[in-house]
Amino acid sequence: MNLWSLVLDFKKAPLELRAKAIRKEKNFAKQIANGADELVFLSTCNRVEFYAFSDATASQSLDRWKEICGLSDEEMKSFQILENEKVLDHLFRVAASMESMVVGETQIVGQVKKAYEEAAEEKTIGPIFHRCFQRAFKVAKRVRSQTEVGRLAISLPSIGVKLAEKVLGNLSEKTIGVIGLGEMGRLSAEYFGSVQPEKILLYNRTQAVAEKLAADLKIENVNAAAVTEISEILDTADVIVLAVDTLILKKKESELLESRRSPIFVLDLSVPPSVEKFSFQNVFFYSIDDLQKIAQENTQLREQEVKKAEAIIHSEVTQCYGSLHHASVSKTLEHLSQKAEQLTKAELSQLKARLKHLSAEDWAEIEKSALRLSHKVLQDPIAELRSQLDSSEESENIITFFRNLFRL
Amino acid sequence: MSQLSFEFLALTFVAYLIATFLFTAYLRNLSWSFAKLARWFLAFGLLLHLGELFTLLHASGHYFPTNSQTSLLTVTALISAICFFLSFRKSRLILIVILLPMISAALVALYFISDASAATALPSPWLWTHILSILLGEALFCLAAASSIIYLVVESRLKHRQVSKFFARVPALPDIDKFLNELLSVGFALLSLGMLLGFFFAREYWSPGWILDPKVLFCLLTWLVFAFILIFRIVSKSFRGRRSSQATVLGFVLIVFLTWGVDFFFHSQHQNFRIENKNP
Repeated sequence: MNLWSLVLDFKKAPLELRAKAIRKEKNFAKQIANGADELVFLSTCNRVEFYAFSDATASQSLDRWKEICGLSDEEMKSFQILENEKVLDHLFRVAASMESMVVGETQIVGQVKKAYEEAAEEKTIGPIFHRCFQRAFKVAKRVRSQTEVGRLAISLPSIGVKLAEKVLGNLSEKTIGVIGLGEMGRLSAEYFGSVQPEKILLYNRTQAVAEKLAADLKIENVNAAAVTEISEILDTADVIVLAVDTLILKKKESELLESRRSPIFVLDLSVPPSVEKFSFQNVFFYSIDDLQKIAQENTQLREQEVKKAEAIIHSEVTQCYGSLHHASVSKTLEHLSQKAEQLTKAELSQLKARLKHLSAEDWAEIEKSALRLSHKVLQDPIAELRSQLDSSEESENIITFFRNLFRL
Repeated sequence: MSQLSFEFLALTFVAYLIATFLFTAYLRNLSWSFAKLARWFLAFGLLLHLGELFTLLHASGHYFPTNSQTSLLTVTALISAICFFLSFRKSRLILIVILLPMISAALVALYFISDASAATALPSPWLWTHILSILLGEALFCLAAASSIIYLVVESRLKHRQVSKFFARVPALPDIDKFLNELLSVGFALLSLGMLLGFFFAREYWSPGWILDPKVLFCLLTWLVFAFILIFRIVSKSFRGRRSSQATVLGFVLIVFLTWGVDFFFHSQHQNFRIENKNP
């Protein structure tokens, strides 16, 4: 049995590829990791991941993924295959929001929990993943309570998200408007999308660009819509991100913002600035220079916090993998007992057909005796396996050898 | 009649100041060990504080804070105890950094308060409830005022883009406002209960015309201010946040004046809980 994971996330794959690699069909996960003993499928705004405990190798499932979604060889380079301890390390980092676009965002734990619960409902989860995911939630809690890593953003769009949260609180009930969908605008839309706001409104001079991005974001469960007029954003958005190369918010447009009573967060990521200087009571305005200053300050502090978080994750991975290993041994032995029982029963049913003259009592005795014999035959190999596993460092190889020996 | 122990008071003062310093150190460099150590000093200070309070109350023969000295000692002990519980929540540590110096300053003032007169025996446990409700309400309004100050500072700094690394530990503005609302609501309920019970006893035991007593009038004024704050918060969204924070600070100034200033400038029947007309 192998513990492996297939990962496609925002670090290596652009939004278009992530959107292309998802199918909404219910049995999509089963199609890819067919025959896996245990399987969890995690799909969020920034990642598509499979976690499996299976006889089949990860590359076999990856080939099926490529085939089902019609992906090219070039696109397949963005996928990562993780095995054994690395799977746990990655899962714990994901749950602790260390791998999120906006590090420290709290939605990810809920999303991992949802994936875990769905897998439990589908009955594709067993003792191994119950243990792994429960531990992942514990790690997420520890990292959140014992380190400050989640509070110190260093990438510019994530600092923008954190600042908007400072001003407006939880963004899940807020509307975000992004004006200009060049590289920075698209990136900002993705970052703000990753905290699951109520709505993201997208505006671009070329309408098709906004529509395409909205469609891609929708696939990742972000409520996005393209708009045709900037005023739609100025009228309704709580956060306005500007990433254009012209002056968009002149005095007249800015006065529109002042007329609104609730606080508004304006983030100008344009160089040169696309906003005329203004100061209104309910408008919090930040430019790219402000974000850069914060990034510089956070970088130093973040390093020490990341080290703390990584130490927590490392120790948890070591512990969990150790206990997982024991679970895997128990599972192997369970399979062996099942196999022995099945073979004995098959043999007995053939014998029963030949010895029809025996009474029911005699036959019951023979059955009991045969099952006892099969258990006794296995007793010594099992005891020897356990003692070898306790004393040897190559336990993984020994289990593999044992499985091959009995063709489990 | 027992006097305040200078040594006890000084030790409590020092413990609170060290705790403040350590909490500030945590906020500056994020080392959680500072916060843990600070919590120990806070707990030590709180124990001394409670020890001093119980010694005074025991010596008076009545376990009720019935003069300015024991009242102030009780309110500050309540705030200190709330601070201790808040110290387990990272996002509330900034509040403690404001409240502990306030408590320390109150302890210094306490030493100079001469009103340590003997307490009158309380006629009913309901009068005890009156005192406790008012004191707990005052403690919560003090917390509300500290939250308001934080809100105003954070909002101003965010508005003027003076965001430093310190801001990583400051809660979001709506979170501060929500906490403020909770404090105001509970504080107002306690103040109302305390006032109703107080009016009942004043009608029973004070001389006629008690309603015009300066303490009663200022109490009504304070109650009205907080009632308006809470009503406006419900009615007008724009009143939440900055405006209600400013109003809360004003309300707290009134509370301070009501508790200690009124007795200083006016003559009130409330002083020493003088009970007239009827024997308890």
